[in-house]
Amino acid sequence: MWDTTRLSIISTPVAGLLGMLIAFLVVRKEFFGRAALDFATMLGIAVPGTIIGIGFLLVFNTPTVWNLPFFGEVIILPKLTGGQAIFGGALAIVIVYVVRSVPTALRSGVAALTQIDPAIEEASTSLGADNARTFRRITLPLIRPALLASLIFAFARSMTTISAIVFLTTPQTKIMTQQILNEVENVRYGNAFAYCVILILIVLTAIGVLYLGVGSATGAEQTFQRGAR
Amino acid sequence: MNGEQRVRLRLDQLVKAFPQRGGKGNVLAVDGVSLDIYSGEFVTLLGPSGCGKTTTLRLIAGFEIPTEGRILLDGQDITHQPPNKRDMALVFQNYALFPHMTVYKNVAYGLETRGLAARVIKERVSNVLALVGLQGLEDRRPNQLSGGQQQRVALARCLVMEPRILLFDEPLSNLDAKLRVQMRSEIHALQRRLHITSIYVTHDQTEAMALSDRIVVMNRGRIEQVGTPPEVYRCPSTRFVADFIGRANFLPVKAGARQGGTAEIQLLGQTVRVALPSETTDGLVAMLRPEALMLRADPSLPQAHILQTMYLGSEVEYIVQHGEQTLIVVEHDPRNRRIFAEGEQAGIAFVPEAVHLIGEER
Repeated sequence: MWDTTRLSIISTPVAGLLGMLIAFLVVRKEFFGRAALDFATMLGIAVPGTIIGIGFLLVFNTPTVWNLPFFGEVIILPKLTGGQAIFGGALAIVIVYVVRSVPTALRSGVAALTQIDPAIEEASTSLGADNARTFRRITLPLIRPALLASLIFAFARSMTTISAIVFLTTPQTKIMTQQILNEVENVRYGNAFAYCVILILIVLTAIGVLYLGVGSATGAEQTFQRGAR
Repeated sequence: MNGEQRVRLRLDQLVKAFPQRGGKGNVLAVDGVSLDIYSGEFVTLLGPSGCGKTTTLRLIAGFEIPTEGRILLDGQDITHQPPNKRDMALVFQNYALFPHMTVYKNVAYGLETRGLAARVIKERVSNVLALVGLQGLEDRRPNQLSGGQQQRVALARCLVMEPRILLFDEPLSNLDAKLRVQMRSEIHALQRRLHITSIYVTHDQTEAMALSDRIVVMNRGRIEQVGTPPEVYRCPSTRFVADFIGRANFLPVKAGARQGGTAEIQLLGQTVRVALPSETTDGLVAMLRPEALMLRADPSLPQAHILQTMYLGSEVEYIVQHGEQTLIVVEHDPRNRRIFAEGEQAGIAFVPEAVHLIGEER
């Protein structure tokens, strides 16, 4: 239970922010490979979960080693999957969570960004802000509702996903959905249902926390109590 | 303009090509624009939509990179400098205020980006808000402001930066007619007081005339004429300029013998001596502004047939037929003068000094 929640908590902001960032790049910036980036990101949701799981197993089960001149063999990427992997295989699971959630974040980010006049960001640039500051201070606050939506989705999806991680769980990473499946297979329905209830409660609590933390408003909404007009 | 002023911004043979839709070839939005803008000057880029004025402004601001040519700010090449490094500030057409920030935060944004001390920021923001008459509205959000107030915030946000050049992209086009005139006069007063070098893009010739030290008339990516408002109004160098700035009547004329840059022409039954625009005396057109023409109940004058009479209060506007020509005549202050009715005949006269010859090119 804690493993699942912890890994979801790690992956949620990464997926949300990464999705918004890719949306910003795809909508606002002209660069080579823009369409490819958009397409590649969407693959995370287009490809079936089991295929992603198997793919991770095939690619990351052995460390990626480059034989560089002067340095000899250098480990570029350690073994990510399986029990002896780095962080007990948790990193692979976090990556899968992110990959599965980023497409939704990207699409909601794109939808929100196209509603915002690019001149607002240009105004920020004209006033001396670089891209990073413009994104942080102007773009991100304005697409906050989209960010909230993608964070909620990312968390809920990470907590409840099964197909993509079913091959990636290790003895060190006990994922709830995997355990629910085990209980069901062993005809311990009572335990399975109990896990389900806890899962639902965690997701609902997280949604509440996200509402409070991120906020559903941009601050640009009309405030009537002031009676400005 | 006095001659001792120094060049603040130099545009050197700027070209900007955009790929054409459908991928076939390029469109030249800006086609060889060269211009010097002096320190403290208010210059307007004026032209119809698609003439390249906004693209030129975006090149200056750094939002577009020119295909060819250079931009020099105080002698320093800034052609490839990113917009946030250029010491300029742009007032956008639709204001582009930060909707999630208060008026104070909007104005303070640029100074915060520069990392100034909070105390300094506070002082400068309240000074500039007082300057544009927005005290007391610091805590409002942009959507709680009227159009005119939003425009003032946009202006304040730029002024507070004390930029080397202030850029305006049709800032008044979203305001209603009355407010536009009021904001126009405020911008005029502010600019004259602060002496900020300003480049102003508009398609509205009255705005350009009212605000500018110099007007740059653009057409199809090129500069047609650069001059003070009276210069471009009285002595347009091309037919396009004459037509775009105000209204104009064009009458083909034959010039007589050339005599030191001037020649005699026959126009509406009168002989006048006027300056020639070029070496040749062929293909000349006389330009007469509607207010330079007069209608009189005088049978000795060339007669015109009144097609239309429009009473506009401060003036009467006639459309008259004279031979093959249809002319516009505007009579100012019609209080003590006879107003001709449609269908009547009237004698047509003109102010000889107002005749301006244009070479009929193209």
